[in-house]
Amino acid sequence: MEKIIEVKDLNKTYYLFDKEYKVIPWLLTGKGCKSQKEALKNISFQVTPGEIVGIIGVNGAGKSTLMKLIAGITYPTSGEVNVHGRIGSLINLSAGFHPDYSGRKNIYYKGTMMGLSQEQIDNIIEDVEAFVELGEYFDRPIRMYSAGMAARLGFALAVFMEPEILIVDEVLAVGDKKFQQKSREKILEMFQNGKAVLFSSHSDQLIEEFCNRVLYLKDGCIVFDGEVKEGLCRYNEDLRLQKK
Amino acid sequence: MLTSVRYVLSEHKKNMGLIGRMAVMDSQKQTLRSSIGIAWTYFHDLLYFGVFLLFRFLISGSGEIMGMNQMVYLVTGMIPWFFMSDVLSQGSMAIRSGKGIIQSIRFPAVILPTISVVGIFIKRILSFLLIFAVSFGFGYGKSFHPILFVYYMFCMICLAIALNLVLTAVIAISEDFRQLHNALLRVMIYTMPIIWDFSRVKAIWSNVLLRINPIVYVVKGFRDAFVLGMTQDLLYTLYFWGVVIGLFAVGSFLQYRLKKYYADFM
Repeated sequence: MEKIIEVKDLNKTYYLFDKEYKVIPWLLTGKGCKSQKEALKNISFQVTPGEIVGIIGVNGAGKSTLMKLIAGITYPTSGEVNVHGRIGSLINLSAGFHPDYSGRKNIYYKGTMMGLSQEQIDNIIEDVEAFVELGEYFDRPIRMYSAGMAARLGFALAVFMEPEILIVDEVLAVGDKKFQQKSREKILEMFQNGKAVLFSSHSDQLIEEFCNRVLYLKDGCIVFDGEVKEGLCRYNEDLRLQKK
Repeated sequence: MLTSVRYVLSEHKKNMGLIGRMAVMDSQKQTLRSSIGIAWTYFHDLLYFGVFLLFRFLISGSGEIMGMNQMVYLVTGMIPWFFMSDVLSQGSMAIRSGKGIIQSIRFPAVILPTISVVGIFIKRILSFLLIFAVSFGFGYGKSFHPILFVYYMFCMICLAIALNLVLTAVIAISEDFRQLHNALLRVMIYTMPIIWDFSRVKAIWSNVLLRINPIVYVVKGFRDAFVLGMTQDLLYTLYFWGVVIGLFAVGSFLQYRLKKYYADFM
């Protein structure tokens, strides 16, 4: 089976500085870094089209870092991430919009930055407008939006740009109940179209409902990779042990 | 060093169309909320220009500076400075204010500085007509050198792009640099031959000191293009291009090394 995501010996270290300006001498000499935090250690896995991979783990286990690396937002310290296909990342949904542009203009604005051409955006704009259900607000500046409305817009753009890979970071709780239902259906539709999805969540229920594979991250390492029920079991077992 | 320069050049080449489209959007951004839009930019310029002119008039009467009408002297220096000052103040924030983009989608941060320079140029392109209007209006039409004008325009844009590569990088990662930069920016106009002329400075060392700032080369150049003809010496020209190339190399190095960390550090 052809691989759509290949991750090999991936390491990510965050460098921490006590003063911001010390970054510059550090870039030149490699000295001056106060402490380091290894967020991911030797991660390797592959994803094939059609797989919906749930990523579970406690806060700080490296879930978000892993997703950002695959989305190409941040870079690995060592190792490789190879992605074959267009990525739609549902990370920081409402970021990257300009507050003074209308919703419509912002779709063009952020869409352009995502690498879509004018025509491609022209083709999806009506679908986006219908999907977000913002009514007349779609042509009002984003600064007048509520947080939920802006996030809906981000969701719609990422989904309608027809990604081959969708990266979802804890954001399925976007908007009201009705919109949540809609976004779930949309995600399921993408699943049926054989797209690969990476999905991180703290909700066991959502993971069980959507995923057909689970990655359990603990302190930056993959401790389990495989069947959903078993993964969740181990995760909950660990949580119980920790409480004691 | 060479790898980083090559990286910056190839990203620019690859994203040429994107830079153009983004720059057009960028040029409209700041004035979006106002009713007269881009006209505010020109209103600023005219007000600034008017006040300086008034004071010069009050202090020295309707005199001449360096043998040319003081209106012409001011406008030829002021307009390129307005462009550079926009680049220094707004353009230098390009990466810092692009935080949302960098942290939410895959995007080459290195083209953000150039997008903002091109955007500012688009926004300001009409202001260069003011130089033509004033200098031709005062009868300096005969001394206009189109080749010099194009050359110094090119110099100005190269300097802006190279300088902005460095500034956006250091400002993105450090608030201290931003404060220092803002402090320098406020006094910079007084260190340049825009509202007064250098020929009054007698000591050679101070004349050299004042010319360290490469923007002086551009400002003087515009005056040459419209009135004086070729007056800049070869040494200063070489110095200017040395600075531009140096800034571009340092800027490329910073951008290349920092691209991995922008999303983490901001």
